[in-house]
Amino acid sequence: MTICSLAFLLFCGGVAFVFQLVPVKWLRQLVLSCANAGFLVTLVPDRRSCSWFAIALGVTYVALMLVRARPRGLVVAGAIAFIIVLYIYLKRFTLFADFLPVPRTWDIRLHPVELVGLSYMTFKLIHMLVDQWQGQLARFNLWTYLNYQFSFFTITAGPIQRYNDFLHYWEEMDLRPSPICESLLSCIRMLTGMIKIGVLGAYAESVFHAASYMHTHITLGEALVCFYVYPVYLYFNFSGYTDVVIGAAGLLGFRLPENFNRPWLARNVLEFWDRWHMSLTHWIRDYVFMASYKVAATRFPGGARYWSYALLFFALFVAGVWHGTTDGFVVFGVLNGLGAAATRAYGDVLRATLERQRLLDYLKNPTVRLIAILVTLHYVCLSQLFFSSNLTSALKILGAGTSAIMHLPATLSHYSWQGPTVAVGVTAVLLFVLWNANAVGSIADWVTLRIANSTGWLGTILCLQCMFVAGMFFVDWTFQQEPPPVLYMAF
Amino acid sequence: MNRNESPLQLGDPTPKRGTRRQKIAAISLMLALVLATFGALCAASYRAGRSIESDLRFLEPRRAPTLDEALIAYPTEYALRSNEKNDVIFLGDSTCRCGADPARFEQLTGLRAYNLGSQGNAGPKGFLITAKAYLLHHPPPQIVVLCLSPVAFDVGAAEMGRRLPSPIPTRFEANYGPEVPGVVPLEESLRYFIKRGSLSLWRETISPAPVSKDVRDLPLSGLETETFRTAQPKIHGIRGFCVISGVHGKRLDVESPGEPVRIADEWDQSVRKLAESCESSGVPLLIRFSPMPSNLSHVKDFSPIERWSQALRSSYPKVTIGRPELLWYEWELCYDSRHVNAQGVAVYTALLAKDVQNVLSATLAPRMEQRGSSR
Repeated sequence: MTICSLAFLLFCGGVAFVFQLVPVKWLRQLVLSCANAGFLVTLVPDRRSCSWFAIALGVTYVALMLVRARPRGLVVAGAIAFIIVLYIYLKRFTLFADFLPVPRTWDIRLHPVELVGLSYMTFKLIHMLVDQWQGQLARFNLWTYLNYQFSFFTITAGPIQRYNDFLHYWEEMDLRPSPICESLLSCIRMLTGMIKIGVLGAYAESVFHAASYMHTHITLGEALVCFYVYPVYLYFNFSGYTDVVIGAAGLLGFRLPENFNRPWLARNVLEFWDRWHMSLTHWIRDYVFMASYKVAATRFPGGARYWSYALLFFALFVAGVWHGTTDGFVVFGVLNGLGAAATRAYGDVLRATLERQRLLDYLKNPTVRLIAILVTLHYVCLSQLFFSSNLTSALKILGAGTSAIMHLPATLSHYSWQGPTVAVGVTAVLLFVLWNANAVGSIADWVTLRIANSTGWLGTILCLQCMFVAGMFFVDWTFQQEPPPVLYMAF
Repeated sequence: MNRNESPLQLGDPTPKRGTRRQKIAAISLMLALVLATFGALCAASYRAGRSIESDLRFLEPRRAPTLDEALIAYPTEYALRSNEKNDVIFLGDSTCRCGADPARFEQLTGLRAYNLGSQGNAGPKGFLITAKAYLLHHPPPQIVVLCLSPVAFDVGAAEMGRRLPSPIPTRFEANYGPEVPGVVPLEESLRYFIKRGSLSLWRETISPAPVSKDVRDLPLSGLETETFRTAQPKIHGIRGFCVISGVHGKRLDVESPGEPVRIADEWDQSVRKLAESCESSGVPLLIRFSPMPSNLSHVKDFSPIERWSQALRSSYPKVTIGRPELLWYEWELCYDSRHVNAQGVAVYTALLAKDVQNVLSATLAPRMEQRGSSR
C-alpha cells in the first residue's frame, strides 16, 4: 500500500475510527495489532518474502531473549553481528555476491525477496539489544515486540521510535480524552504530508528528471536545477512521509519522534544532520558514534579529540552508505563524514582561539550566520547530487555547471533576460528571508500558534485540504498514474 | 516556542479536553470530505463524459482523427445510430471492409447487405461490439458473415495497444463497450468516461487555452481532403465498403515468417461470444477467412487455423466455416499480402455470395420442412 494514496488514507481513517469506538485498552491493542498485520500483508508480496520476514523476526527475538538471559558483551556483539550479516545478505547482497561464491539457491538476485522496512527493523533491534544489555529497556514480550517492529506508522521508513517510548503509548492507549484541536491537527498534518509527496515532491522530481535526462550537452540552467531541485524533492518526499505517519499516529494518540526541523537553516553539516532525518542521526549518535567514542576515549584519553574527528567521519559515512552501496552513495557518505569532522575541528579551533564573549558575538553575528547557512546549504546540495545519481552523472553535471560558470558572460548570452532575472529575484527573496530568519520564524510560530488553538481555523484548513487531496487522488486514479513512492522505503 | 516541537505539541498549556465523540467527528469529517469530493469529481466527470457524442468521445480530444480511427468508428456508429434493415451483414477487419462489396453481393444474390468491416486495430472485441450493437438496434439479418484475415488473430488487445501510438483497442472497447451488455468490465468503462469527461470539463471551464474546433471537422490525418463528418455519409453511401484503388501495394510480407500462426485467446473468446450472440438471436453465423496471395502459402505454418476451425465447429455446430478454410489467390487478384484489389473483390464477393446462399438454403430447408410437417 502506497503511503500517498487514497487507500492508505482510508486505512488510517478506518483504523482510527474503530480505535476510537472501542473503549477498552486490550481491545484497542487488538485493533492496532490487526491494523499492523493488515498493513504488513500489503507490503509482503509472496510466501518467500514472508518466510524471510518470519526468519528475521524469529531469530532476532531469540537473540533478544538470549541477551536478556545472559547480558554479556559477547552475546550482544554476536547478536548484532548476526543481524548485520542478515541485513547485508537480504538488502545489500549484490555488493558481496560478486566477490563471494554463493550457491545458486541462496542467490538473492535469482530469487529476490521484498523486505520493505528491514532497515528500520534492524535499527530498532540493535537499539533493543544494546538497551537491554545496559539494563535500560522496559519489559517486553513477543506481543509487544512484534507490534513494535510491525507498527504500521513506522515500519516502512521510520521515524525510528525507541521501544520505551512505544511501550508508553502502547500501555496508555490514548484512553484519556485529548483536545479536539489535536485531532484536527493530526488530520491536517497527514494531509499536508500527502500534498508534499503527491504535489510538491512529485513536481520537483519531474523538474529534476527533465533536467537530468541524459543530454549530450548540459546547460547551466539544467545543472543548477539538478543541483538545487533534487534536495527539494528529497525534502518534500521524506518530510511528507514523516508528516503522514506522525499525523496517522496522532489520530490514535501515539506521538512519534520528529524527523525534520527546518534543515535548510542549519549553519554547519553537524547541525544539518541534527535537523534532517533526526531519528536516524540520533540513533547513529547513540549506537555508532557514542559507543565507539566511549571505547576510544577510555583506551586513548590523550587522543580523544582526534578520535572524535575520525569517529564522526565514520558515523556520518555509515549514515551515507546505509542508503546504498553504489559509488554515488559512497561519495555522499564521504562528503558528509568530511563535513562533520571539519565542522567539529573548526569549532574546536574557534573555542581555542576566541574567548567566550567573542565566540558568542561571532555566533550571533547575522552576516556570519547567513554565510554559514549558505555554505552549508551548498555543501549539502553538493553531497545530495551524488545521492541523486551515480558518480559519473553527478560529475558530468558538476563539470558542465562549473564550465558554464567559468564562462559566465558567454553562457548568459544564450539566455533571454527573463531567466536570469527570475533567478536573481528568487535568490534575493531567499536571502532576505534568511537574513531575517529569526523574525520570519517568530511570525510563522505566532501564526501557527493562533491557528493551532482555533477549532474554526483548523476546520476550515482541513476542509480545504480534504478537497485538494481528493482532487489529487482523482487525477491519479483517472489517469492511472502510480502514486509517488516514498524514496526512503527503498533503503 | 521551542523549534524542536512539532505542530502537534503546539497549543494552550491548559487546553479544553475533547471527548471521544469529537475525535470520531474529526476523523469522520476528514474521510467524508475526501470521499465526497472524490465522488463528486467522479460523478461530474462521468456525467460530462457520457454527455459527449460517442464518436467524439472515441476520438482524441486534442488532435485531428486519423483515417484508421474514422474507419473504426463508422461501422459502430452505423450499428448504434441507424435502424435500417439488412439481409446480410459483413463483419471483420480491413480485409472484410476492402474485400466484400455489398452492391455486387446484392446483384448476385438479391440480398441487401451492409459491410461493417472495420480495422484489425479495433482489437479482438471490435467486431463483437459492433455486431452486438447491430443486433440490438436493427431488425435481425438473415445471416452474419465474419471475414477475417488468417493472420489477424496473432495479436491481443494489450500488445496491439503497445504497438500503436495511441491505444485504439482500449479506447474503442471502453468507449463503445458500455453501449452493449456484457463485453467490457464496468471499472474500465467508468474510468474511461470519467477520464474523457474530466478532460472535457478541464478544457471548457478551467484551461486558459481557447476551446478548439470540434475534431470531427478537422481534415483527417491520412486523407486530408475529407473530415470525419464529410467522409461518414460517403462511406455509408457505398454501404461501408472501401475498395483499394490501384492494382498492387507495397506490403508483401507477413509478420514472423516461418512461425506457426498464433491464435490469441482474446480473439478466440470474441469469436465464441459472437457465435453465442448470433445463436441467441437466431441468426446463422458464417466465418470466411479472407484470401491471401498464393506465394505466401509456405511462408508460415497455417495449420493452427484449420485446427482452430475444427474445434470451433465442434463447439458450435450451427456456425459455418467456409471451406476450404484458407484461400490462396493469384497475385493478379491481390493488392498486398492481406488485401485483394478490385479484381479480387469481384472473385471474393462471388465466393461469399455462394457461401451465403449455401448456408441460407441449408438453414431454410429444415425450417420449411418443419413448417410443412406442422401443417
